[in-house]
Amino acid sequence: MAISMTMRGTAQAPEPRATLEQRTLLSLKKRRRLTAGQVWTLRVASLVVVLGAWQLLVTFGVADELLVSKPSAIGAALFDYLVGGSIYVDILATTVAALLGLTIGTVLGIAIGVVLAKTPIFYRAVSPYVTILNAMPRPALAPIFLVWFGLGIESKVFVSMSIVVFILLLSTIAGIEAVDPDIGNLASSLAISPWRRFVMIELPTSLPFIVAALRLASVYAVLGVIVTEMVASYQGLGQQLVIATANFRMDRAFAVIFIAACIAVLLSGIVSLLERWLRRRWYQ
Amino acid sequence: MSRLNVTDSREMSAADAPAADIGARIELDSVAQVFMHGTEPVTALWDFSLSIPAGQFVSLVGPSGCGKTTVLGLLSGLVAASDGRVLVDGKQVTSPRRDVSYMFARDCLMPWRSVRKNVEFGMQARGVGKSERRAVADEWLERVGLGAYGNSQISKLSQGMRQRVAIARTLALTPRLILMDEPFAALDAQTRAFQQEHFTRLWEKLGCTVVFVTHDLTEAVRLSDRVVLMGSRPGRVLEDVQIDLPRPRRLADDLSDAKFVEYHTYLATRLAKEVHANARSAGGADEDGE
Repeated sequence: MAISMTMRGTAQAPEPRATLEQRTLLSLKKRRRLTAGQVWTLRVASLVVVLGAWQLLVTFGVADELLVSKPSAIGAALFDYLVGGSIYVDILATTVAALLGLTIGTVLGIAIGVVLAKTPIFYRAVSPYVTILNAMPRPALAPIFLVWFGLGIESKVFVSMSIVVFILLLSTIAGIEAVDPDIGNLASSLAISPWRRFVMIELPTSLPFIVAALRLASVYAVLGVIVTEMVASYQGLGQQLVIATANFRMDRAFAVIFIAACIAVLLSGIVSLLERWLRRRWYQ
Repeated sequence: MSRLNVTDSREMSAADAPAADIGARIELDSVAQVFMHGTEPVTALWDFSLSIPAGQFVSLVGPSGCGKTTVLGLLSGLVAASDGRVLVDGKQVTSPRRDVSYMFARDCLMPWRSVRKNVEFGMQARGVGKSERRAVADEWLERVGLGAYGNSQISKLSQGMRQRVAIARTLALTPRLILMDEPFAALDAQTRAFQQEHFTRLWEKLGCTVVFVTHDLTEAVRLSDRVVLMGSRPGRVLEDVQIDLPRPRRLADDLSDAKFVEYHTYLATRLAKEVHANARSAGGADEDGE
């Protein structure tokens, strides 16, 4: 401060501080714009290269179109699906089942996780069972659930939920166990009630863990539904995929997979919105 | 509102001599404390007696592992004594008391709470209502010089500011006894000196009882009315020195004061002797933590 003031008095005064700061800010903005430009160029270019190579390999007969299809055909199939209209029933069936599986699994997973984390003896008693249940290949449950609950929405939701519940359960326990021991001691020295300890300390601490688990679970929820639909179902993208591959319509198969991925992205987006809302609610 | 008035009148009266009811009396009567270090029982305190009158600022100093922090644990009610009696205001301590505030070495601030909400934490944990909580928190933020930072995020603060938030949180509970476990140890030298001075000013107005654990003899002599030097394994009182330096203390000129130097030298020599004795008895290999 003192230096810049004496400098201003001299004849060959350097650039005033305000313009110097302004210039620094502008150059930072410019650099950011450049970086963003590079990122987008690379992003589009890599997509064009991959799709272009695929298209050319098939066109020149290097790859068999019957097996791998080609981007233009997949695009056409996707267009047909979306214009034809009958696919919307399947999209809806898959989306609703995945949402239900995600929601029920999340609520159950957090609830069980909290109970286990708060009752260490009970947790120790049942932890081998939790491990074994979580180790089960869940898609293998699909045929069993189909026998039990039929070809409707129930089986898909159960399979989806059976995956989601463990992701949330284990993360919730990890989150509650991550409470800073010093903060825990501080709370104890204040004779805090168990409920306040949960709401004021354990819940906010485990929130990032739960949100990370939700992101993962939103993808797995769709996976559980699709797998079940592939085994057997009245409606759903999994069933459409089976029909497409059985008829050697690889263009349709890829189009269905693309739609399924979009559903998973949509669910992730919903989780992101939820995350932002939770942060505003809790982090203030 | 009533709370604020109490603190205001307190400031007035504390100017000459703190009233006795502002601080708690402490009595530790031949206390023993044994804890398990793995499968090894360790006697942290043995036949430990100490009595502290209301409103005294006492520092506990001593080598690592002498049971300083254990004394705080006993007084806070977080740890039960294995033997002997721990009394605050003549009452046996069995669980955390409402008039005792514990301040840890780390500031224990919660990153998901704003500065103000961090100051409110202790009150909220004890069920104080929202509007009163907020008013008291704002007043204490003002007093620690962070009035403009109520809505700030913790991550935006410097270490020194964080420590002042922790002090505000501690004092907002209007404690009659404050337990402090090396609260300034994590700060750099300049910040520490500033925080010590700042806390001394606040405390000289409040006049509650303070039990202050530190490794730092300079800090102990600067801040305290009395320094208790403890020996280790098992923890016991080696020296109990009244610090007759005038109050209010202005810490900047302490270091050259002849009396200050005398206290410091005496305690440092005594502490060095104890550390050497420990090192010899343990074959020079005793360097583990507390």
